[in-house]
Amino acid sequence: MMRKKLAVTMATLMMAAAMISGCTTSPVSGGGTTAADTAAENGSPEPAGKNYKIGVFTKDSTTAFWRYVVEGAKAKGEELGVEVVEYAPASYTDSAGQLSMVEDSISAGIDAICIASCDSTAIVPALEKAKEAGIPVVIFNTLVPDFKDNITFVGVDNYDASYRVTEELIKNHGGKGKLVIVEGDPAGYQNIERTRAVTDLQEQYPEVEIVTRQPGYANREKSMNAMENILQAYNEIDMVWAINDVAAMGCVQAIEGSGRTGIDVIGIDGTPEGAVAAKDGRLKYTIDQGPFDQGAMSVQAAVDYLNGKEIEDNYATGGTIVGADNAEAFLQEFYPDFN
Amino acid sequence: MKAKEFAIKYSRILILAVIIAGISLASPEFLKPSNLMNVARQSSMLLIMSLGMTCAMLLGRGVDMSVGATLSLTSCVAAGFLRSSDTVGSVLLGIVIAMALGMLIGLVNGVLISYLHLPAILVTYGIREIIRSVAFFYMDGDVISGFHRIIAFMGSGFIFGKIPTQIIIALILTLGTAWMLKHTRIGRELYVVGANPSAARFSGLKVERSVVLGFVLSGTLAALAGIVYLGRLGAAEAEIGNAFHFQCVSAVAIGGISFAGGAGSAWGAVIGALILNILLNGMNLLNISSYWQGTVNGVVIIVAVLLDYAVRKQKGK
Repeated sequence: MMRKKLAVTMATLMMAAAMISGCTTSPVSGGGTTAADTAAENGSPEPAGKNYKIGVFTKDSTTAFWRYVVEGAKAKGEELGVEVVEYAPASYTDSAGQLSMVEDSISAGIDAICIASCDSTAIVPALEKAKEAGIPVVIFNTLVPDFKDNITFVGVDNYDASYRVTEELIKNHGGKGKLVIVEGDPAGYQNIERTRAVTDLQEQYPEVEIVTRQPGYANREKSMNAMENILQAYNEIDMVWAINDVAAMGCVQAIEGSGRTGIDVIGIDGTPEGAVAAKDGRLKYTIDQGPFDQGAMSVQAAVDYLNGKEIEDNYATGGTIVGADNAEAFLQEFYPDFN
Repeated sequence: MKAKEFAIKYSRILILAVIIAGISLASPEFLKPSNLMNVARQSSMLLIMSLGMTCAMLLGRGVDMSVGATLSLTSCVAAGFLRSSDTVGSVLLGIVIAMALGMLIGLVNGVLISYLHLPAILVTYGIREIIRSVAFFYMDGDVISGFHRIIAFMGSGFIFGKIPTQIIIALILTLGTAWMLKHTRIGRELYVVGANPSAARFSGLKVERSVVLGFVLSGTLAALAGIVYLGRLGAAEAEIGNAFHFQCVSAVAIGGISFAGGAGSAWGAVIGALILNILLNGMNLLNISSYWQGTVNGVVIIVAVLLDYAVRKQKGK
């Protein structure tokens, strides 16, 4: 309902948004290439007569984040005159489902694959198949280290995003304090990357103590339960790091329910819900991943590649740290219709 | 012999006591009143759903796999009526709509299971898949947050400033279910139908009607749990509560509600829900790796089923 309205608004805002994000994003570290150029600057919208079918593979169909990715992809598809087909497994953990979807799409004659992989190891065989079939693969959102033949990567480096938002929090606490980690799926690549940033930072700031680390599986209720139990076990907590905004809001709800104060929670993803909470002072920070841009730039890169244009090895999206002072502006700019 | 019978009958309470004793020795935090409140709060949602599951299971047709999805769909549909800017009338309407929808889902389950004699586990699983996707369509990835104070009071408020409201709600529903099962005609019929459907039919009971009733109760209680859950989480999304059916099945299995039907009680569900959540809480307090949590839950379920087996053998003698 309101999503559709948003899609229209976003479509009109998109060029502006893409240009602004081109100015505010920082280069992805470790990628080896400059990433400041955005796909929007790179490829002028071309009314290609060829009706390409671009498959966009998200991690699930249910959370707001992936809806925005798909909206971005569809809007860009419309603009370029290509067909965008959405593939979404039942949940984040359904890597087998995603694998078969990739295989099915190859059989169905897809022209390009844009994928955010649920499991960066399990997905490799399917991507190899795509390569053999001559189908270009754009990786977005989550890196797949074992597949080297992707034409580009679109998104925020997980390590980088986590590092930046966590360092902001630690600096805000004067470089010291007791930190709790409510992580995602302990075996997931995204979780490993995002938490590695925290443990690396802890070495840099030795006065920060990681008091405990418990899984909430990137899920609101499980993260809330984990946080409630942590609050019982530890009397002194200054900072809480959560794997994403959904998990962070579960932690916030638990802390508010316990009546404890003075605990700062941070999330990752920059969802509108997270930004509203940051505006209200319930969430300390979140970091934008630019979901709309992730979808749009992935499709743009795929189409450019199919049209024989040069494309970059890396396109950065999002990267804005959202806190109380800029949440209002962030919401107005990217999610004007939220709630 | 007498002692052994007694031991088997109250074995679940014994297991609960052993677990409590063990955890409180290992972690001094466990017995702190605030932590006990915490466990009770975390258990209450599972308990409300397990009460419904108990009613369905008594019939001996099998488990209700649709409870988690029912919670999710009903709470998502109701959420739009329960915003902080809505009137009290709208909130009440939202609650009624959620319960009516839960009843309807239970009714569909019950009719397919009783009149068409389809296996409950498959019917309810199919229904689960359907209502899950309806919930996803309905929400389309949105999150609704910011609920009316009545809902916040139900899910995260306190009575007399100390006792979480949801515990009181769970307790009232437990007493109600226990009374219904023990002292009302329709409640007693659930046992009789579950224990021996042919005998029940010969003695003039409406077997089909009882089966439908069991699943309607299950759906309705899942919907009620959903409302309380919204207040607890402070947000509605299609994703919530989806894994609840497994927890519910575990709780009633541990609580001694027989999978063959006809045996078990509301208090069994209480013990089952408590054992599950106390174990989880204890493992979290002791910082035990999440990898082990599944193993521990699995062992407890198997022990509970073994106990059931022992009880049946005892009766057979």
